[in-house]
Amino acid sequence: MTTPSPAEFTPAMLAASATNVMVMAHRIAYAQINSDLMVVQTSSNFSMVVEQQDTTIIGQPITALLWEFVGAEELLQDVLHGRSPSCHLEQINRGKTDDKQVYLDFLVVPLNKQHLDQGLLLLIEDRTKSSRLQQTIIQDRNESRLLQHQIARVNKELRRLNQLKSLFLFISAHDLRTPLTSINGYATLVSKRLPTAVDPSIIRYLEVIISESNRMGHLINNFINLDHVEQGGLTLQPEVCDLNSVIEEVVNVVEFDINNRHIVLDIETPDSPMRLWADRDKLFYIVYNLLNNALQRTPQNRRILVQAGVANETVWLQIQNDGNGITEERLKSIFNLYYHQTKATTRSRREGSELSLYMVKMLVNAHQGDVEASSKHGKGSVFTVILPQALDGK
Amino acid sequence: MKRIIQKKVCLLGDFAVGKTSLTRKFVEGRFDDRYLSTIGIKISRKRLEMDTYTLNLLIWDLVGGANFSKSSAKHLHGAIAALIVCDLTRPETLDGYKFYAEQMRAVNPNAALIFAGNKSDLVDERLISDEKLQIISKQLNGSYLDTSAKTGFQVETAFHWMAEQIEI
Repeated sequence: MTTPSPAEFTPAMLAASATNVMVMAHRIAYAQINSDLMVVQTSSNFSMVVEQQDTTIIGQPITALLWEFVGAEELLQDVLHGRSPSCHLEQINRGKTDDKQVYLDFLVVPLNKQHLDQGLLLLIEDRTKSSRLQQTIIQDRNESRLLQHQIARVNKELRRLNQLKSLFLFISAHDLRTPLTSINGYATLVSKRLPTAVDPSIIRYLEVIISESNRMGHLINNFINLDHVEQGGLTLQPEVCDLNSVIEEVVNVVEFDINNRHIVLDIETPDSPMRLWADRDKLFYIVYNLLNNALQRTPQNRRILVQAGVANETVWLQIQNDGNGITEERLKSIFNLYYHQTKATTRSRREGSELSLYMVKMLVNAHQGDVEASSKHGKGSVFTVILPQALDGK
Repeated sequence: MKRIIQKKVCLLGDFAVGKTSLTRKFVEGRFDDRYLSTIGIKISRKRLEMDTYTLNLLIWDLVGGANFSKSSAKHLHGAIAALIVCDLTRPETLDGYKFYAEQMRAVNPNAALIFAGNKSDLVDERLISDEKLQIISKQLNGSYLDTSAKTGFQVETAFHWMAEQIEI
C-alpha cells in the first residue's frame, strides 16, 4: 500500500487521520461494532489491545478479540436495544508481571442514540497512570489493615499467655512457699538447739540452709509482687510512717546475713522521726530490697552505709556499699526489668536483687518519689531514694 | 477437531484472601509470597482439554473487600460459577461468604458456588474450623474445599469443579 501525497488526501481521509492523532494523544482506542457484535471499524491503535495481535480484526466478533466481553454479550445486547445506556468495564488489568500491569477502561455506548441500529462504539481508555496510583493507596490501606489484624491477634495471644503465666506463678509460688517455710523454720530451730560442742562445719551448713531459704523466699515474693504490679494490681494504703522505725525493722530481718558475712553495717539517721505518707508494707519492701541488694553486692568483711535525712519537704535514704561497683552501661538500665532479662547471661546471687530493683522503682514511683543509682567501677555503688515528706498529718 | 467453548468464572472474597494467588497458581503454576492488592478486574485464561471439547476458561479475579461495589457486581454477569474464597487464618473473611454468594446469585441465579478456605498450609495459624465452613457452605447451597495457593493443594480441583458446571 502506497502513502498518498498531500494533494491526494480526501476530506474523509484527513478527518480519519486527525481522529487517529487525537486518539493516540489521549491514549484512547476505539472500535465500531455492528448489531451482530462484529467489529466493523477501528482506530489504528486498536490492534494494540487485541490479545492475539496477528489476527484479522475487521469482521471478527468482539468476544473473539477481547476476552473481557465473553459472558457480557447480554449486556452488549442491552445497550444495542436501548435497555441500558452503556456497558462499562473499569480497570481491566492487563500484563502478566505485576510491575508491567496496564489498566484499561472499556466503555460501550450506542453509536447514535437516535438510530440504535447503527451499532455500538467501543472506547478503550488507558488508565494505567491513575490506576497505579490508586493501587498504591489501596495496597497501603490493605497492608495496614492486615497489620492491625495481626497486632490484635498477637495481643490477644499475649493476654492469654500472661494470664497463664500469672496462674502458673500463683500456684507454684504458693506450693513452693509452704515447704520453704518448714525448711527455714526447722533449720533455725536446729541452729538454736545445737549443743555447744558441735562440729563448726554443721553450724556453717545450717547457716547456708537458712540464708539460701531466705533468699529463695525473697525471690518468690518478688515474683509474686512483680506479677501483681504487671497485672495493674498495685494499690497503696498510705499512712504516716517513720522511716527510722522501718529501717530498724529491716535491719532486724537482715541481721543474720550481715553477721554471717561479717559485713559492717553503719546507720546514720537523725534522732527525730522522718515522717512519710506511705504504705508501710511497701516502704518496708523498698528499704529491704535496697539493703538486700547492697548485701549481695558487698564482699565479706566490707562496709554498708545507710544514711537518711529530711530536706526540702522530702525524705531521702541513701544506701552505699563497698562492692565492685556497676559498669556505666549496666547502670543506665539498672532499674529496667527487661534489660536484666536480655542481658543477664550469668546467673548469680544478684539475679533476684536485679528483679527487686525494678520493683523498688515501681514502688517508689507509686509514692511520687524517685530512685537513682550511681557507681564508680571498683569503688562500690550508691542507691538514693527520695520520697515526699508527710506534712500536716499527711 | 474439538469444539472450542469460552466460559467465564469469577473469584470473589475479602481483600488478601489469596484470589489472585489461586488464579496464578492454576494458570501459571507459580506462587509469589508478596501481597499485591488487585484493583479493578484481572482476567486470566486457561485452556482445558475436556473429553468432547476444548474449554477456554476465563477467570475473572475481582477486587475484594470494601472496594467491591455495585459496579463490581455487574461484572459477575454471564459467569457460570464463582469461587468464593476466605482466609482460614482470618475469621473475619468468612463474613463475606454470604454477601458474595448473594451478589452472584442476584446476577446469575443458576451459577454454581464453590467455597474455598485458602491458606490451608498455615496449619498452626488456622482459626476457622472445617465443620463451620462445611455448614456455612451447605446453607449457601455450595460446595466447600480447603485450598493452598502456596502448595497448590486442591487448586486444580477448585477450578475444575467450576469448569464442570458447563452445560453443553
